[in-house]
Amino acid sequence: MQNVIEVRHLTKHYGSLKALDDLSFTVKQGEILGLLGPNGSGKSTMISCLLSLLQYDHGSIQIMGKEMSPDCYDIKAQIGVVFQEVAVFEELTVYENIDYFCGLYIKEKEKRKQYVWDAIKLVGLSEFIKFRPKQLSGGLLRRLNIACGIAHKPSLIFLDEPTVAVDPQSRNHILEGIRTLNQAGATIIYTTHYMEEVELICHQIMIIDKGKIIASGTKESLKTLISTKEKVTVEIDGLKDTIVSEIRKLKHVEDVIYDGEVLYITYREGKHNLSELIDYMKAKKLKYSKIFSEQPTLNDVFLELTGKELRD
Amino acid sequence: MIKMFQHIIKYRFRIMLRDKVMLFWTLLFPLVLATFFHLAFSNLTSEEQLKPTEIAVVMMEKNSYNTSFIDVLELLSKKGEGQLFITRQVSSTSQAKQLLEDNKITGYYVLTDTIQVVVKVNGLAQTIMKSVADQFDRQATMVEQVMMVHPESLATSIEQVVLKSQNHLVHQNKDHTDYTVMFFYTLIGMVCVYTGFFGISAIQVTEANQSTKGARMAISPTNHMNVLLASLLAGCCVQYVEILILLAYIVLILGVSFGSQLLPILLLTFVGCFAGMALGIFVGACNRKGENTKVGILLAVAMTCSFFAGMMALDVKLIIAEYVPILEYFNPVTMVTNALYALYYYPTLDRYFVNVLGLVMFTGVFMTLSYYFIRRKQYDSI
Repeated sequence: MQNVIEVRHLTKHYGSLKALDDLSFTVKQGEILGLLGPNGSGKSTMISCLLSLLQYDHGSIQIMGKEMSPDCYDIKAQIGVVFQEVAVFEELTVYENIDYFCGLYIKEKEKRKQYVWDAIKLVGLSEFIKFRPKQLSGGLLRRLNIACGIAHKPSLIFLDEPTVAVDPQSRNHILEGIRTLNQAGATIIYTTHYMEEVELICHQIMIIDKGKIIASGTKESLKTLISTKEKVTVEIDGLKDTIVSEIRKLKHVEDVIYDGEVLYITYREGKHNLSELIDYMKAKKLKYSKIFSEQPTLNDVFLELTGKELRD
Repeated sequence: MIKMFQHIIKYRFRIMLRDKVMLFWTLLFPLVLATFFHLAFSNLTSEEQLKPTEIAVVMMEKNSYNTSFIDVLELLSKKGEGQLFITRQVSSTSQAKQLLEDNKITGYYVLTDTIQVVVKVNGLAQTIMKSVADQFDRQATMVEQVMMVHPESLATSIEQVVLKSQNHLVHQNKDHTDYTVMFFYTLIGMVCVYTGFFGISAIQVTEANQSTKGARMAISPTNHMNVLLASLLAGCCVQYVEILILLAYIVLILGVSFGSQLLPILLLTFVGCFAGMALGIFVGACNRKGENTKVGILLAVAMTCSFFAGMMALDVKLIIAEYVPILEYFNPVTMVTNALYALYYYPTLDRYFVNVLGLVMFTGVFMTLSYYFIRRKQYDSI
């Protein structure tokens, strides 16, 4: 597949602070790339550089095979951006807002009308076209923000945390819409703090911290990068320290934490660990109320690679 | 390109016309202020407007001096624009005194070997009576001298004396009422500066470093200068129409005269709009504060300019005009005020055009300064 974005050695400083540190990556056509990183990691700076809004110090950015610059109107015509901050006009209705932004890309009135209606349907705002933004709920407002960014049917879409502070119904609508856009052929760069969204819709994931790419790949490949392969959680009362020490010595166990009435065990390898633990507890006549096993999540990957929670 | 321009202008019009806060400041507030000025000054104006004053004259001694004065009074009592008095001749001072007591006259002259003025209370009309008498006395002395040196030109001299007296008094009257009109002139100037609100708004939505809407505009395949130009044009049009509404309200409803030179007034307010817009663009582009803060800054600037143009106290403008006249060319409100004043009071357009040129230069300077900020397509930080 053809590379839609090609970034080489991208470096950007804010004074003495290195915001982007020699970033190099590619995004292939039709991919949904999930961009993960804690606040201040450089995600927004990177997107602004890609969009030619920010000057950068070194490196090159090619979009659709061309060097990106502020005057590349042919490339810009194929890009759609949904900013984290809602950027719509309070004085215009839902329809007018979408029509206004779409009109910056599509000149033909009839075609634009069709595109605007497609966007309205995609985000599920058909019943609200005559509403002003302040009459909309937070979730509907986010949907309007998305419609304004994608109404011109771009082939490359940047979505910067589009589901922040959105109710579950709107979130599902938005995620469904993103999938639909992707199925229609759009390449999507998706920034979010929600791991489950990334796991759900992204083909590729890139983790950024302190301006550097610390890991990238599919969710499966990322999970192989960390030492934890299985996590077992046991709800149990009054566990003695000697027992905890014995569990720590069991096969493949990496770490044991007994916090209150819950025992957390992480394993280096992930085969038959649960059954062996149950056998051990039977032998010791330990009674537990609940026991279950989990595979590591992207959150574990993020935590282990960056040393911090994504939503810190 | 043209379609895009039309598209942006169409929506900018809608946005501006639905922005209630903006409409309040640019249209409703000036209308309210104009009404306030009208209410505040209408009494003053009517008091100061010189209506013919009813007077009486008693000729106690018949001589050429007194007869000439009677002639002058008759001339000043002729119906028409220059009429100052309604004069009635009475035969005795007691008769005149009675008329004064009955408030049928404002005052009376007693002509003996001098001219005595008798009034009940002091006021403008009484001052004019005194002024007429004093001037006549001065001019009569001059005529006497002419009679001795050039007796052949006596008739001409008398006529000149009488006309000069009449013109002087009528001019004094006109001068006096003018100053209330100045407040309305400063109001027009202030509203011209208010065009800057639309300049700020245009900058906010087109510059990527000012707002997310600006960033959205910057990543579109439309030249951001074209978008800005369309937004500014729409802003100027809206404000110009608002100024025309204000002018119509002041002239047609409140009955304030702006003279008969409509085209120069239209040109002046148009240029004034651009000057205000240039100031607004500068305020909008030179910093990255929020839109409300910028509107506050422009409001403060407009109020300060209006203050120095004499909106709150005319003496301030007169002091500046006397001691630091150069400052008037840094103040768009003063320039608009001066140009309107020049249109109304001076027969030529020289002073008017000096102020129009001043506004054009003001626009040029602020547009050049603003260009430094808005020319950028990429930013170091946003």
